[in-house]
Amino acid sequence: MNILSYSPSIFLLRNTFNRSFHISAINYALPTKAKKKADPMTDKIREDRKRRRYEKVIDKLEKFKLQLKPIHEYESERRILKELDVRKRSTVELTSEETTRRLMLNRDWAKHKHRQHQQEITLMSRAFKSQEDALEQLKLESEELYDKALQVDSKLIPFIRRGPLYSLPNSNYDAPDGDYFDTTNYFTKGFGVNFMDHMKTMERQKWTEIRAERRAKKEEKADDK
Amino acid sequence: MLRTSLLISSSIVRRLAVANTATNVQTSSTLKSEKRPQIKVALCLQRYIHLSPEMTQLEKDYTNLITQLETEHSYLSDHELRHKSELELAKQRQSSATSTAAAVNIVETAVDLEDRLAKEFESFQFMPRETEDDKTNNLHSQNRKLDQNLLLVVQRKNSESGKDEWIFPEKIYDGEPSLRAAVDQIISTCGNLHVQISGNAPLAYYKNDSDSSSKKIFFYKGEYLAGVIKQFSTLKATPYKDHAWITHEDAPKYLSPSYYKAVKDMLFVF
Repeated sequence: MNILSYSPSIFLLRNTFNRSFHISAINYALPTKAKKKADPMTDKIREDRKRRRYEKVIDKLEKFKLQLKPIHEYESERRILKELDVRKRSTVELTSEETTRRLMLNRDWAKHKHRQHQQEITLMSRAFKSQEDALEQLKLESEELYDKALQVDSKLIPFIRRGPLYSLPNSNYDAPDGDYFDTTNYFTKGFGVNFMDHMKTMERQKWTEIRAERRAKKEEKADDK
Repeated sequence: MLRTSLLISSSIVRRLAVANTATNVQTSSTLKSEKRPQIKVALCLQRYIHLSPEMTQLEKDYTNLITQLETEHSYLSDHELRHKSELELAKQRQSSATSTAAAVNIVETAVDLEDRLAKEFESFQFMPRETEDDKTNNLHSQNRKLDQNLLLVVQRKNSESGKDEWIFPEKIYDGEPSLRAAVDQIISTCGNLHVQISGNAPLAYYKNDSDSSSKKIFFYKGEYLAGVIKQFSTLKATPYKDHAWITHEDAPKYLSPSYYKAVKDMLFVF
């Protein structure tokens, strides 16, 4: 750190002297060599090229902007959409008995679900109250144990529960071997997915153009000679 | 630059050190209060359902109605279209045997396919929903009544009153750092079990009002996952005589009324 507090030139001089290193000429704020004046025409051409390149990218971006990744589940198959007239099911005339039966069944079901829901809520609230009471009693017994009981149980966090089945798994059943075919449609068009890839190809294109330009210049020079 | 980095690292180190000491305090601390609370902990071990219960009549009717409505509102499937075209072909063949329709030879019609698949389904055998323990009514096994939740209860040897009570496995609190730690010890006294206990907080408490010397019991709930329970009848060192897996409906028959009233709210089943 304190090395930097010395004047750099002095430091350099002394050190080089001691170790017999050669250094470049010291300028002491002398103006550097004048910059070569570039041709205004070539500059303009270059700028034009740049602008055109960006315009192209912007055009493409605008073109693909609305193209989103299609969700096959939302779209019905074209083959079926064409055959919709053929696939119409003949409508069934419902008798009045049938309609009343359906209405009654719907009503019963709604009642059943409502009752079930209310029962669930009451059971839950009772369980909560029971736990609160238990915690209060524990607080009376020991404050420390109460604090411990309020801690979050981290062992529960990946909570896994295997759902109930209709019948037990059959140990004698020999499951037939199947084949695996990947029928997933990968979306490769548009910017939605591979924008970065696209930008990379654009970059590559830019560099090939620059190289071609340089090569042309070199050839021109060679011709001049 | 150097100084700032040093500052940052030192602050991180300090924070880490603080965190470490905090965890150390948490793990190493045991209850040091002079008065140890005179309480008990009990574990209510449940085996949850393995099989879905049978549908009630209303549920069956409603599922039928829903499927019926869905088919009515749907379009014809490929299979139904095939069946339809085959019927038309058969009609054409009857009317004119020499037409082009007669040339088409169908190997397997849609109806045949349905029959074949139905036969295949019939030959498939589901495993029975009832196990051996259901038939023999073996209360010691947890492998019974697979479509209902089961509770583990144990029978305590009670020399004073001469009456053996059914209770949930319990333990006198003995200065463990937390009640949960005490509950974890109950599991090993019951046998070699794999159990998931739900939470650190007790879910219910019970105090026998008639007996003033009895201790408060705090209940925890746990899920039985796997393992074998000790045969208490063959062991001498255990305070229990017997164990049983009972359904929720049978619980009031086994547990004493005041005990059941205390744990009833905790043992809800939908």
